[in-house]
Amino acid sequence: MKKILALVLVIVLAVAALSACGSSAQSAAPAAAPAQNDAPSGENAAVESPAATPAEVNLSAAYDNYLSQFSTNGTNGTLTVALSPDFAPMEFYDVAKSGDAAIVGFDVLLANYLAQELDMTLVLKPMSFDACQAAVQTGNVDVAISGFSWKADRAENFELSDYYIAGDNETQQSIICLKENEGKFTKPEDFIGKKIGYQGASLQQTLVEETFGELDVNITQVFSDLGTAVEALKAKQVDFLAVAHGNGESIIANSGDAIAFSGFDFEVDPKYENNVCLLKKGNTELVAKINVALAKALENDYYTGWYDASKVYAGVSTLDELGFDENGVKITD
Amino acid sequence: MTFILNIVKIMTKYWKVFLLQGIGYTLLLSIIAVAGGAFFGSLLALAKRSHLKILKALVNALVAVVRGTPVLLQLYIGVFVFPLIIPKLSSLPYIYSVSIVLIINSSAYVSEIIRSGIEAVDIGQMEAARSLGLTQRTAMMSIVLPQAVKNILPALGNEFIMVVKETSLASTFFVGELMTAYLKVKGNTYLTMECLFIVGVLYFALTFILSKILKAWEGRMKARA
Repeated sequence: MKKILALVLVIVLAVAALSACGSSAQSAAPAAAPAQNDAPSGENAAVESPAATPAEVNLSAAYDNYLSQFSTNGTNGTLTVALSPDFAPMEFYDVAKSGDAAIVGFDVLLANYLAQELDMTLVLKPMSFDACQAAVQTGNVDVAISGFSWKADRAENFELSDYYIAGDNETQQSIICLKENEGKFTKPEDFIGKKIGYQGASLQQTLVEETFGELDVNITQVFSDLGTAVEALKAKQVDFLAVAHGNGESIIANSGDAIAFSGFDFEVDPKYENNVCLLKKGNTELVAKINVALAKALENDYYTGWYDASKVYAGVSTLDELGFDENGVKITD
Repeated sequence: MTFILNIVKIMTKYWKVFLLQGIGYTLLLSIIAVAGGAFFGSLLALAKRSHLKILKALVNALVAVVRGTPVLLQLYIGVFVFPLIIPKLSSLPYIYSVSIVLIINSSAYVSEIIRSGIEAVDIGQMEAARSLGLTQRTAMMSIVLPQAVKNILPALGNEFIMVVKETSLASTFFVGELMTAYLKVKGNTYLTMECLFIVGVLYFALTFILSKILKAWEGRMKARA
C-alpha cells in the first residue's frame, strides 16, 4: 500500500512540475519573442542548438527569420487568435518548441504581422477547426485565422476580412490518389464511376460538388479531418481525395511513396482562391484595421516569403528549392 | 512492416509529446476531475438527502442535465460560455475551463453512485440502529455508510477509468493531453493510424494500471469495512 501511495505521489508531483513548466512557458513566450528581435537568427539558431544536425536547423531558419522581424509594444491590448494547428503548412506544431512558440506556420506569421501592425500583444488559442468558429461567435477570441476560405454562409454569419494569399495552398486545388493512378486523371469525365472523398465544410467540398455534381461520380464520402481521409484512401475506401495543393504535398511527402497527384486540378473561382480572417459579426472596427494591414502586406508582397518559409518548415520543400540561402535568408536577384 | 517502422520513426522524433506532455496532462486532468468529482460528488449526494426541497430539486436538475448531454457539448459550453459569466476565466488557458467542466461532470456521476450505494443498504439496518437508540447521524456513519462503501467502490473505480478516457475530448481545445498529442503529431506527419495506435496503447496502459491500483485498494477497503 505504501509503495502504491509513494508511486501516486511521485506521479502527482511530476505532473504538477510539468504543468507548472507548461503554464510558465506559455506566459513567458510573448515576452521572450521580442528579445530575439534583431538577432541574425540563422547563425543564432546554430549556436543555440549545437546538438541539432544542420538539416534540422535549416528547416526552421527561414521561418524564424520572418518571425523575428515582428515586434509589438502591445499598447492597444491583446489580440487573441483562434487557430486549428493540425493543418501543415498553414498551422502546425513544432514539438521542439514550447508554449505559444510551438505553434508555427503561415497563419502564425500572419497573426504576428497583424499584431505588430495593430500594436497589440498576440495570444494564440489553439483549438479544433469547428471550435474556432464557435470561439469567434461567442467573443472568446478576437479573430480566427486558420486557413478559412470565403463561403457565402460564412459571410452571412461572420465579419470576414479581405483576402490574404497563402501561396498556392488555396489557388491550386488538386486531387490525390494512390501511386498507381498517378497522373492518369486529367479531366472531370475521367472520374466517372469513381469515388472521391473530401473534408466536410471545406473549400474542397464546394469544388467537388460544383465540378462533379452533374456527373456520375460518387461524392458521398465526407471526412471530418484530413488524416482520416488519407487513411481511407490508403485502405482503398475511396479512390481519390480532393485537397488543397499545399496539403497534398505534405500528405505525399509523408506517405512513403504510396500517394501521388492524380493529375487533375480544379478550376478555382477567384472568390475561393484566397483565405480570409473570421471576426464576430458587427466587429467592423477591427475588420477595418485588419484590412488596412492586409492591403499593406499584399502591396509589399510579404505573403510569398511567409508561405515558402512555412513550406520548408513543414518539410514539403527545401530552402534551396524556394530560393533561400542556408541561413534562411531569401535570395533576391 | 512500414506501419511498425513508421511508429518507430514517430516515437524517436515525438516521444516527448506523447510520453511527457500527453501522459502528463492526461494524468493531471484525470486527477483533477477525479479528486474534484469525489469531493463535490459527495456534497451533491448529501444535498440529495437533504430535507430542503429546493436544494434537492436543484441538485437533481443539475445531475439530470449533466447526465443527459454529451461531455463534448459540455466542454464547448464550459470553454465559451463560462468566461462570459466568470470574466477571470477568459484570460486563463483553456485547461482551467476544461477542468471545471470535467469536475462538474464527474461530480454528477459520483453523486449518483453514492446515492445508489446508500440506498442499496437494506432500510432495516437503519431502522434497527435507530430502535437501538443511535442517533440518525451515528447510525448513518457507523452502520449504513460502511456497508454502502462495498457497493460504491467498484462503481467508483469504473467512473475513474471513464474519466481518464473522457479527458480525450478536451483535445478539441488542444490542452495537451494524449489525444492532443495525437492531433499535433498527425498534423505534422499525416500518419493517422500509427499515431492512433501509439495513443491507444498509452491509454490502455494508463487505465490498466489504474484498474489494478483500484482493485488493490478496493480489496483493502472491503476488508476494513
